[in-house]
Amino acid sequence: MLRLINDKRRHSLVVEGEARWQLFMTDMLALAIFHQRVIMPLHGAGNFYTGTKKLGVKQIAIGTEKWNRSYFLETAKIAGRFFAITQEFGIDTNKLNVSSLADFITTWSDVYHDS
Amino acid sequence: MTPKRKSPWIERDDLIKNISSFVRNNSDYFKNNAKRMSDLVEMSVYNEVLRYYKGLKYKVSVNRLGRNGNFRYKLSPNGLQQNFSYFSATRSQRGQIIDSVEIYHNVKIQSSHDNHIYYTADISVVQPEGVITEEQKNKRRHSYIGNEALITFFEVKHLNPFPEILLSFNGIVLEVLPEFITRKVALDKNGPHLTPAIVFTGLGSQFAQDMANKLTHRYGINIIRGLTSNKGKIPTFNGLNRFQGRHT
Repeated sequence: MLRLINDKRRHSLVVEGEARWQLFMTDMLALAIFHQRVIMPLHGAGNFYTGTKKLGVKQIAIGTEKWNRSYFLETAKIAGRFFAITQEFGIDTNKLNVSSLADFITTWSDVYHDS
Repeated sequence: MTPKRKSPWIERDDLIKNISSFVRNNSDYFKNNAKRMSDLVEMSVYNEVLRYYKGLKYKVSVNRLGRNGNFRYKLSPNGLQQNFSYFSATRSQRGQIIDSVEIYHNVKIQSSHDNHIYYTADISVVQPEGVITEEQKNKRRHSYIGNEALITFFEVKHLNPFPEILLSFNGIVLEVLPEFITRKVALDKNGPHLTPAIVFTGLGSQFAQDMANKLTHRYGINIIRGLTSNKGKIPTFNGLNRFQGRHT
């Protein structure tokens, strides 16, 4: 009887651990997609502005939109805020670069089990 | 004293709260720029091409800048090139200009096989005055890069590399610069120009990486990966395929 209870407890701990691991993976994957699809392009805008400022470019006209210094400052701030959050939680953004799902799971499983 | 780092899975609720409030606070920005993300990546690579030429001691300058330093960015192949800004890069030696190129974005390139087939590269490096504006049969004018004037071009993909896209890039090269596919171009590691390149933000699987390495080696093109991990910059120009240009 006691053995059966212990087995049940062990089983529920395993299930709980598995669920937590799955949540962690889903969270990291969501962050990875957000980082790649949204945050990375913001760097792109900043790179172009910084790189061409010395050549006399003060604003960029894209269709009817005008991107000026304040637009690029806001862009940089948004990227900075994202990195502040990842840093606060010890999330290495280099590991958010997904080369393949299998590699991603291996990398973040190691992080999960080491922490 | 540095604050203790939180754990993303023990303090998961905090993480979700912080990210949710970050997205909520910047929701206007994200909504307004949602359609611009690929353009921003293109801009980054445009800047990387300028950085490449600056690194080779070319003097880079901007042309057709509007009033108040307004850079008129071309978003699509439509529109006449004379209404948009672009860059020039010139290299001099002992006061003499030894090479000069113009760097455009989103301008149609004429096919090497047919004068009326065009492909629009994200970034094109062209001989001076290589952009032609002329009237079409329907009486509307259009701008394009004459194939003879094209030196090299860059295709930007905000994606991970995968086999189909790598092979379709070979098809584009075959259409506009076939001498790479027929292997008639002499690569030169000290040459001033990068060979045609496809640039990915992602890294891709090991299989895609192996395939990219083989195609790069076979055709002398460049398949550049991993811009995301380097804040939108090309990790290194060293080791990329180069050549002297098409008419040297």
